[in-house]
Amino acid sequence: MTSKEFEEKYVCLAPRLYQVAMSLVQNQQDAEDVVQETFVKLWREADRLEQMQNAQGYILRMLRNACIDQLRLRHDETDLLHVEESIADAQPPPQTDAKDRVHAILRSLPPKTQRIVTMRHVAECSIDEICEATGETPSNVRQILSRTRKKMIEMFKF
Amino acid sequence: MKTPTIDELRKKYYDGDASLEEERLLKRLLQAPDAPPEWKEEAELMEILSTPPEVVPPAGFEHRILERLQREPDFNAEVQPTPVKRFFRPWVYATAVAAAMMGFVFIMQRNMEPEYTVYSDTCHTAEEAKAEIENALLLVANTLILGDVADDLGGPCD
Repeated sequence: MTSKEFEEKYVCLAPRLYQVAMSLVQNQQDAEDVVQETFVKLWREADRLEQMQNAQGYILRMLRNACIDQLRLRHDETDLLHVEESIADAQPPPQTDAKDRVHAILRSLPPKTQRIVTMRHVAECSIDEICEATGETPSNVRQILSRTRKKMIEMFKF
Repeated sequence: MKTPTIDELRKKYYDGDASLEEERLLKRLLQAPDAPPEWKEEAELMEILSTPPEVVPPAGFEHRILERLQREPDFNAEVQPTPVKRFFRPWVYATAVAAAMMGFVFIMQRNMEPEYTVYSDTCHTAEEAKAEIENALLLVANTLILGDVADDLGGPCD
């Protein structure tokens, strides 16, 4: 595959990949780094990529793994001690659009909680992968998912 | 193996105990065209949660990806030079044009004003004074067209 072909076929996916990366790493610079790194790896495997049935799925998995690596480097600051309260305190925002409402509720949660929910729902990460990226225990991750989902559907139906 | 019912799947999902496969199955069942209307909200929420919020990549994002790829061997796609960040905003241009127009109008007004000549009103000698008076009278005579008065003024006063 020539570089021109690669550019035309794959680099156009960059904004979509950035969107996914941003939802996972929640930092503009890190998201950009992760996407760049993913494209470098893709270029190195460009010929193999051509043979794949579901190249886009492969690219998304590659991006997801790069995000997990990035998150593992910064088991961050946010503790989960206040998660219960923040989930309980979250209020449905006044937006009428369902999508805006859900994203606003998500944004009101602590970064680590947002990340756990996004990793599970957007990137379809396993519990082990989420634990690896966030430094949390499996039971904590399950608990966070459970509480967030229950609260979300309650607010969504409100 | 027994296929779980939707209620079992839903319970596991909200308890955070469902596997990825079970979550995918639940989503498919909730979103099925013949699904009961009371499942609609849950199906919609699951769909929204799996969609990352829309984010616009920063300016020059794709360009930087290509620049990074250029450092890879064999990648030789032409990369346009980095666009210069626009320093001048539209309001700066508008202000500059307005200032230029005001300057032009000011200069035009000045050019249209009548010119005034300032004459010195001080004579140091009697001859200078006489010459000034003769000039003034000559000017008056010419203006009023009084014929040969000007000639009569040529001689010394009696």
